[in-house]
Amino acid sequence: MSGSATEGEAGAGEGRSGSALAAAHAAVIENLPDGLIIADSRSQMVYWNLAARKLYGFSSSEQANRSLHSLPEIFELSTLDGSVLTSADWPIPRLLRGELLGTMRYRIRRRRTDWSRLFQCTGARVRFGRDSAVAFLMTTDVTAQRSDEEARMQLAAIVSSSEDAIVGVALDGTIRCWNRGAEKLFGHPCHEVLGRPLAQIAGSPGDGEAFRPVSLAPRVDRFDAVRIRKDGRPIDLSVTISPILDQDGHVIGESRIARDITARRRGERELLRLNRLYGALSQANQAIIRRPERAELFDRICRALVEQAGFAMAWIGWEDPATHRLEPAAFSGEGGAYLETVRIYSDQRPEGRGPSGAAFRSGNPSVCNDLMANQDAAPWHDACNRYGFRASASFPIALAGQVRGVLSVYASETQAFRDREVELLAEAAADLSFALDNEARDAQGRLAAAAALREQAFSSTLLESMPGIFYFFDENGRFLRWNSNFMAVTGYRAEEIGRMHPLEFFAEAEKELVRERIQEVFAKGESQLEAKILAKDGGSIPYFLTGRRIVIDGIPGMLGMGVDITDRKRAELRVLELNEELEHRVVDRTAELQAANNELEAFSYSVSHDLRAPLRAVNGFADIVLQDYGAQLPEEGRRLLERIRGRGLRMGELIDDLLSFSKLGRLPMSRREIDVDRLVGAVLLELTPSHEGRPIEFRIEPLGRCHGDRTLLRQVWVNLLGNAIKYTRGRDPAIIEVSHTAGQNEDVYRVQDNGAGFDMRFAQKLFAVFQRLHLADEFEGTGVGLAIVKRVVERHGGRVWAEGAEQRGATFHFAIPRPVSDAPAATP
Amino acid sequence: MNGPADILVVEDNPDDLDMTLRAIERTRLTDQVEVARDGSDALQYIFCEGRHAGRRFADLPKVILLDLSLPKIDGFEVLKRLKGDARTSAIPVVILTSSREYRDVVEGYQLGVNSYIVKPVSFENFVDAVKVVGVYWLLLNQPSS
Repeated sequence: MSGSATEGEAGAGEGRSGSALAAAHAAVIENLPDGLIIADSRSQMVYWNLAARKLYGFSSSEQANRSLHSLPEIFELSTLDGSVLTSADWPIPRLLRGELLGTMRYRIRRRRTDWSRLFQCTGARVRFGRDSAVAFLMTTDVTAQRSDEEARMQLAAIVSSSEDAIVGVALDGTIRCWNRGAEKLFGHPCHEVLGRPLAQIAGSPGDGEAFRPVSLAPRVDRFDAVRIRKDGRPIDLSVTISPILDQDGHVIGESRIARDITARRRGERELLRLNRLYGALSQANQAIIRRPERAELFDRICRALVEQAGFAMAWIGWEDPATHRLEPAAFSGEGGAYLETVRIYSDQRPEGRGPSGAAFRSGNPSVCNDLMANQDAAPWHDACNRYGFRASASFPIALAGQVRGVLSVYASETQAFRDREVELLAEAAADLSFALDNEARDAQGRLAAAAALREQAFSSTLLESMPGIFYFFDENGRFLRWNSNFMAVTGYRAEEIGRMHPLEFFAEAEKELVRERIQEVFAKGESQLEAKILAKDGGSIPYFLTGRRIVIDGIPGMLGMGVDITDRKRAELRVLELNEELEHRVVDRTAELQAANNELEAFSYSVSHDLRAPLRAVNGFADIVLQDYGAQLPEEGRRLLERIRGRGLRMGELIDDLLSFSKLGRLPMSRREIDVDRLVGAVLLELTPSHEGRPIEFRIEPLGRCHGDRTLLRQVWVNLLGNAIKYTRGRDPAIIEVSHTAGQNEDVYRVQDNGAGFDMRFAQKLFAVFQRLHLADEFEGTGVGLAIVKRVVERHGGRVWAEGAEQRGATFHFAIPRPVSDAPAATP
Repeated sequence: MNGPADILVVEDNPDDLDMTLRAIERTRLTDQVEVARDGSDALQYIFCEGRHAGRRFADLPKVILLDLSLPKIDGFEVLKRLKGDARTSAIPVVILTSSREYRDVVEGYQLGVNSYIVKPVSFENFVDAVKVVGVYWLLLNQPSS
């Protein structure tokens, strides 16, 4: 087709061949199948043969023979790759400049039309004459050829430029084609692999999809496989195997197209891992929700992370505050052996600088995506190697806001913990912390609830075992609690009590009082009363009720307790009856006594009144006779009348003393403390006139104090001291001693004299009324004095006694009891 | 006795009456003495009733010596009637009693008695007591009316 035109000399015999030859040449040239164009050295197109005129679309030579420079106005030439040629680079100009053209292909396009062809041309410059030269160009339309070729080239370009590895393999398994994609994918340059067996080059890592030998099966096969690159890295491939058939349909080889799907695989794996992680976290959350024991919760979470999320190992370390070691609390995977071989600490020691220790101390996730490259993980490199741990991440677990442990997860590949994984695992650890807090709260709550339950049980038992009734109602009088006794006593059922008002349990007559007391409870805090509880059957039971304002379950109310006082009431009634009876008796007895007293008084009155009247007459008339008629009477008569009058006066004294004595028993007593020293001093002073001029030595010792009726006791002292003064008449000196002894429960006084004394045989008679042991001529007196002493002392509950001997003086003692509470009187 | 009585003696005991009259006589203060032998007689005298109906009411005694233990109407009743009547309440009443009974004394004063004489066993003492009372009530005390 396209010959190789070279520049040459045109034939020198042009003139000689004659015109016939020239015409023949001209006809041949004109009818050549290829287009022939000639341009002269001035760039003037001088000749287009027929084919050329057709090729370029000129209808006549006149149209075509134009200046070369005008052609670009008509045509645009571009290379095959689409770049437009400047007119200087067009083939003819290049030929005219003397360049070798070779075979050139260009696309020609007629401007402003759709006309476009692909031309192949070759040409040469031909010199004739000395300086004349022409360029001729042979042009062939290769537009039709071009489609096939271009397709082939395109295919080759595609194959060549494809990212996919395209490998041609002969039946013997050797590589015949290895494109750039294959070079890139596998790392082997083409020249290294051509002719070598594909099985050697694209080896399987051992597991997964094995290398498939070339088969004769005329079918397309597709599979995914992992292959090892030249640098040893595994790559994920999607492989399509197609047979190569000859024209007869025989398989002569196969093409293998392998696409790198590592990135996709990674994404898929990432997705899968995340999915599994989600699944694991879901399991963990379910475990958290089910609230198992802490150990079981830890265990479930570790198992989920290993079994579900596919981590190599997961464990939870809980800090022992004493040793700072993170004690394995749970693990899953290869952890047991690993954890036995390592020691992980929460503090700064080398074994505490790994992810677990760091997470514990910082309170933040700590990730090491390449354990072997991390110096902080150096203490565990051996162990990690043994178990294939390549990356780890640790997450703090807090209890009540304080980090107490870590969740550590290990993966068998580096870079296993990306943002999303870390985020999710951190979330899981946070959930775990939350669950622990809840658990702690629950535990506390359970403890409190259990305590409350126990307390309640105790209270209930206590209340139920109480002998009385118990009830609690709020400010509106709504019963909230009561014991079974309350129901038993009132006869109402629980639902009835729940609807009743407290006042309904009392009789109409007592309601007002009860209402007041309840108000008092709410106003002052407590109150009490005795009232009858009205039972459902109409019966009533006396109760002693106490109310106290308290708050139960935040509800202010009144806690009431009641005790059945039926027995007490009965006893009280009995006591009342007895008292009444006693009172009656006392009244009766008092009336009797009163009657006796009245009788006595009447007697005393009549004694003083009726006995004294005749006595007065006797004395009075004796006086009158003596005064009016004394002078007329003989001496003896007058003496007798005097004696009548004297005895009459004495009888008057006796009567007066007797009345005084009888009055003693009737006078009211008022006891108080008496200063005996002062009392005796006053009495002695009063008695002074009765012993004027007599030599009497009084020896008065301190007499302290005693408890009694001052007026009555004064009479005692008057009588005793009076007697002592009287019966020592004639003694020189008379000695009267007064002393005091504080006994256990009484004050004992002693009055001793050195007077006439008495015969102890008659000691008992001393204290009887009108008993006198001495002659009236010797010592005046009525014999009532000591009787009065005895009576007064005995009214005080004391005793009196005497010692003495005739002419040897007498000693009188009397004892006055002290009130029980008094201490013994001081005796200096 | 001529003219209205200065002293009304109310006494049932003849011995005491004799001695009382003798004592009044010994004082020589007055001889105008009327005697009533019981409470009823005393009241009839004062209020001009019975055998004393002819007496002028205005001629009231200057002092009444009244024994307490009297037949029929006793001395307290007489006292009550006298002191309960405005016309007679101003008459001084001196109780004559043989008793030292406290209750008699208290009751007497509560009823408005003006003085009180315990009849002594000795006549001399009795004359002295009557004299003191007589001097006071007959000579010194001027009725407010």
